[in-house]
Amino acid sequence: MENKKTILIIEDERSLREALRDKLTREGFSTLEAKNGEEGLDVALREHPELILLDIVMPVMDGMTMLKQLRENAWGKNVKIIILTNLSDIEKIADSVKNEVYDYLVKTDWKLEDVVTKVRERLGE
Amino acid sequence: MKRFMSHISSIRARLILLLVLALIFLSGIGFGSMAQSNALIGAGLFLIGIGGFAIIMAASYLIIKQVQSLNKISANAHAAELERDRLQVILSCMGEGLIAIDADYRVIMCNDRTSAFLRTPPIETIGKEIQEVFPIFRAGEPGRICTKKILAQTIQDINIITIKLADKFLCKNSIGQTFPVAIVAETLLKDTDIIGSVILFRDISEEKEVDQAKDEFVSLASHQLRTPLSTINWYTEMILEGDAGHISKKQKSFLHEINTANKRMTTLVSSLLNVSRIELGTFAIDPKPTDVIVLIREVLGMLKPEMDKHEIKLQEQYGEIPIMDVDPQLMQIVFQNLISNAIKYSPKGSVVGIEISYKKQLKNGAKRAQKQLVIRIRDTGYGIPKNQQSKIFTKLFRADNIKSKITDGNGLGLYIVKSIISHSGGTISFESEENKGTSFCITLPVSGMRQKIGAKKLGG
Repeated sequence: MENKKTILIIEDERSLREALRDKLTREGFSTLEAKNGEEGLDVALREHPELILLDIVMPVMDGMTMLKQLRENAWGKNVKIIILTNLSDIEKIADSVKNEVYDYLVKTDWKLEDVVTKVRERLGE
Repeated sequence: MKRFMSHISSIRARLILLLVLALIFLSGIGFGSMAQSNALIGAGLFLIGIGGFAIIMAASYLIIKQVQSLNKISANAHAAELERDRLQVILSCMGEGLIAIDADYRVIMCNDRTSAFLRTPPIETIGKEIQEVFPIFRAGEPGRICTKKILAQTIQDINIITIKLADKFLCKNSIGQTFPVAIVAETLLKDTDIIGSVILFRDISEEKEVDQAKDEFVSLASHQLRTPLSTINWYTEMILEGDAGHISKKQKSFLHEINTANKRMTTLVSSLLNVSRIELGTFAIDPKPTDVIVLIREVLGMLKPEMDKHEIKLQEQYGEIPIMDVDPQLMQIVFQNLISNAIKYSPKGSVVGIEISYKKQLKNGAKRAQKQLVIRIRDTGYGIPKNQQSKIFTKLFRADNIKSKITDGNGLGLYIVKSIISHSGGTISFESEENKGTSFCITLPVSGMRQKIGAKKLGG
């Protein structure tokens, strides 16, 4: 059996999370889901996914806080991340991540197909 | 005052008159008693009679005059007092606090409302340093009382200072409560000398609440409106892709309509929110050290799907650019609008060029060339008709040649771009020829964007 790559989707909006899950599963990835940063951090550290899709504005723990905590972890330091944004989040991102260059993905502008392409690109496929 | 002086001198004149008459009277008596003759005594008594009569007349004349003039003074004083009272009533009825200070920053006068706002009786306010009775500071900097620093601008020079809601100033009263404050301070002049400053201020707690409610609405609108738009975007795509089973040609074309309308709505939501903030004049420019090239690459990354769709050939040319103080979010809006226009208003397979350089340019009127950040964004697209080039930065304007070709523009993008650049001390210009293309050029001074304190961020 082919070894599927695991992607963790951290997104509070159910419909968006499920859309991403359906598309990525269809494209042959294995997926994990989390509703907020806290849950996401938990799942990430436990399951060690290959890539994380991370929303910014979320309840309980927002994406940037989660990212900071994740980067303090030995494994989490290097895990690949694609940030899901609304255009309005850019400011928060710029504030929080100084020297790292991330891939951003604007949910309203991007097609799911483009998301998949981006994910493959990052995974070096 | 002059009238009062002339009055005194007339009293003096009357006293002299009185003295002369008294002398006549005395000399009459003396003369009479020395001569000891009846006739002379008679004459003396006659003189005494005349003298006495004259004295009584003079005295009564003086007394009447005096009483009259005293009445006049008190009438004048009364009128002045009335005037003062009326002024006092007006001042105390004012909704604003009013404080006058001298050139040494000491309070010389304040109205009742001031005492109510600051919770200090007027007696305790007069003569004190203004900073002590009226401590103001910027929100978030409670330790840095800057009353004196701000008023210095009206005392060192003739000036009017206005502090509004968007400037976010707070005032702390004597019992430790703080309230948001709006202030107008103006130099107090006597002839041409600066003798102090007059400060008008008021509690703007209510305005702040309204403003916050509006702010919350805008932020809610921007986030909450976009989330369902994303959902529509992705699910329409999945149906279109056949992820939910086969769809007919007709269904496909309908879904494409939904998709296009949804995209249009997305842009409209961001643009409208930005415009509403520009119009309110409340948007903030918050420059921070930024790598402009990294920023533009981020925008290019976001626009990649659009670029691929239009088969755009991208040419990038970046000079050596130092880290500059620009507002990343605003610059992002500028780049996003200009580049997406370049993509949108060009036929398939066009070239979009981006150049960023840092060079000396002689500005109009400047003696020496100053270094500037120069950003050029050019395309080989449809261009702007010559006769409409003067209007392109006007709100809601769309050029005739593209109105029919690209229907989903909203005429707000360039208006937003222009507003951002001119508010931040930069310039924007363009050259365009129909069917050959357009080239936009933005310059920003070496000092970066000019900071503008405002309540809102654009793009939020």
